[in-house]
Amino acid sequence: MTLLDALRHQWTQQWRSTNWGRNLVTTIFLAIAAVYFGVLFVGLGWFYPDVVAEMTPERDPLRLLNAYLLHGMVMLTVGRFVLQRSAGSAVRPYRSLPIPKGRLTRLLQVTSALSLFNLLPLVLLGALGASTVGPSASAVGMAYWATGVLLVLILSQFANSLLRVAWDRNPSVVLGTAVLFAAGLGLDALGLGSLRLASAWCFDGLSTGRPLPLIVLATGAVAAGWAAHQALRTRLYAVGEETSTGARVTPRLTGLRELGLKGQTASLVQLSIMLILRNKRPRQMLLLNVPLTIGLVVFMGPQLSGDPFLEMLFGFLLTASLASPYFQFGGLAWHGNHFDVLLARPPIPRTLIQSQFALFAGLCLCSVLTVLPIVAWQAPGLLDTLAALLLYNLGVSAPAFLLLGTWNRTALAVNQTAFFNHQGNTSLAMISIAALITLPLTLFFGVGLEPALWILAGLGLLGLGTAPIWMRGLGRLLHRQRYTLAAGFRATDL
Amino acid sequence: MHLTTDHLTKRYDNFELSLPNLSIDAGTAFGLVGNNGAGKTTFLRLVLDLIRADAGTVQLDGEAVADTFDWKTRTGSYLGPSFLIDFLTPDEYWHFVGQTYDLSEAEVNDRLQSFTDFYVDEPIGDTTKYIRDLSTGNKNKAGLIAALLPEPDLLVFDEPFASLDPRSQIQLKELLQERRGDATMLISSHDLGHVTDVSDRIAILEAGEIVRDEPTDPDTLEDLTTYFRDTIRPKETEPAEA
Repeated sequence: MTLLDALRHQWTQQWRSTNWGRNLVTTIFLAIAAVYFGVLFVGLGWFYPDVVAEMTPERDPLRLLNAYLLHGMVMLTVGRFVLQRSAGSAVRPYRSLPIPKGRLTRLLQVTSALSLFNLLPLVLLGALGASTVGPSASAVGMAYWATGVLLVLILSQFANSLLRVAWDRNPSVVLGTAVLFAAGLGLDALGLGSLRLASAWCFDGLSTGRPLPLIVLATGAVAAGWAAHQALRTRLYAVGEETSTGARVTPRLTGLRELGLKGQTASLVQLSIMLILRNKRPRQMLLLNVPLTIGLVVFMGPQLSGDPFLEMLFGFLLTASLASPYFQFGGLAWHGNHFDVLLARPPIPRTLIQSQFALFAGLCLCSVLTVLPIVAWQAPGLLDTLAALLLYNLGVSAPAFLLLGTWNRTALAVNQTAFFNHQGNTSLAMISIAALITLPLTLFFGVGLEPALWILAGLGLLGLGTAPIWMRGLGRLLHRQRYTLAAGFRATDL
Repeated sequence: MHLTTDHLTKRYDNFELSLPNLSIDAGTAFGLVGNNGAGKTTFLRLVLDLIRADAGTVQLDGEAVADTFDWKTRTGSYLGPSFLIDFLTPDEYWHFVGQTYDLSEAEVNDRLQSFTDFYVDEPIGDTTKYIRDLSTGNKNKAGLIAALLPEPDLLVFDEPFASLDPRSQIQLKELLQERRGDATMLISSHDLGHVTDVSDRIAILEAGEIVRDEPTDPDTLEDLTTYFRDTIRPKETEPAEA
């Protein structure tokens, strides 16, 4: 089996898929997005020296770039881990064929490398090289630098493969690594870290024509390549075991039972948490929103506290950033695939509503806790806005989202990717979310920031105070809608 | 639980299920057989209040299932792999089901002990595969155990013997025999032998109507076999076109 065969199979698989129409649309979207981002990245790279000259004229663009290239690699690896298709995810049919494991592993690595996660950084780095490195470095320095960033890109690809295999074996290893890197980046931001120094040593050295960083990077890439190859070879066995009686064991998630919470509501909350963590689409949506939220606060924090409009808008988004991806579909649609299980069991509709509210509240609190340290540090003036909008989201947005849940008739395919995926989206959901954002903004324009915050907090408290009433009402509504809801979920083509 | 239907009707495009006055006494094991499309699963879904009847009601102990909830705490059911939550491990699923019936963790663990001989291919415990990664037979076993776990007064099964290996089929029959008399059982199956073994009474559903409903006796299996053979015999004995 050659690389051409592997590529041909990928193409045929797409073309003959029962979802080929959707795949085609997705591919077109992806191509348009790739062109858009490609042009954007070329522009970004090309005008980068001008931007630096405009914003921080005292700094040398090349030195600034070199000091942060390793940060870029870390971020790229994180992005790959969350978004890029895993090497080996469709290898099962080939395992029984007489293809040497080494060749199969190499094919997997090459096919998984044909990704926008390699193409777009290459475009950006090419533009940066031409605009920033080329004019300042010698021909040798430029060649070394270009080779160096290429090696970093390759390292990132291999690191992702290793992380994926580690995640399959023991997710805590990956989480531990992520915590270490996060701590490293945090220290770096405080000027105490060594990543920036390492990056500067490496790429400043390369651009001045020193070969030692190149040797270090090349050694690292070869070692990571070898390790990734071995890890993927091992993964081939794991893929085979999934089909046999030899169990692929899965770690037990510490449940709410272990936390001492009991009862049907806690049990249903636990079920939803497991649904989020163990299924691709809700997990991707949640995991993506964590760095996005943190990034938003880090980069926008100082501006947010100075602009009342942005303060109001982002206050709304930040206090529900982890809840909104899940609840934009109303919540129950995620359970569409097994809604009959819930219907046939004792939990009454009101218990389902209570569990969904508890999950919404928990995710909102997690959203706030995620950004609270950064906000307290960078924009303490935003804290009262966050408090008011948290109350608003708990008391007003929550019942609105739960109401939406009783009207959604399309089950969500939980194991599809979250990207370029509009399955289950409804115009009603978009209108509802728009209405929920519009109310705070209207109040802001009508009465100003501070009175608007008091009104929103009051509305939120009113909603929370009357929760038993509206939960009972929503429970009754869900009870009335249960047949049409279940029929819609059953009829959804998953 | 005493199960009755009162002018129960469910219509689809070219099909109508009509059970005007079915009555199943508490503790009776009621077998339901019939060809594909006869309406067996539709009836079971109506009993579990998963679909709305176009007319009439299903009643448990005199209360319409569509209007009350209490019967659910006394009912266990398994209608196939779509009735599983596939991102849980079997162990987690059983505990989840147990919690919905207000069973304590200790009670669930205690009751699971009686299924250790039945669920032997996969480990019951802290680490195991997700349900979606199980074989169809083991998925079905996980669902059957979940239905039996609450020791309910009403058991509803759709094709419980499907995809089970011979050993597990025999074990399942033993498990159902243990509950016989204590629980009302509603068992739909294409396996005439097994359903005869576990039922006190067997009804044949044909195009949405019960065409035969009799207590089981030593001749039931042969009678059922004869009935279904007769439905195909006319086609088999038609003379070939010259």
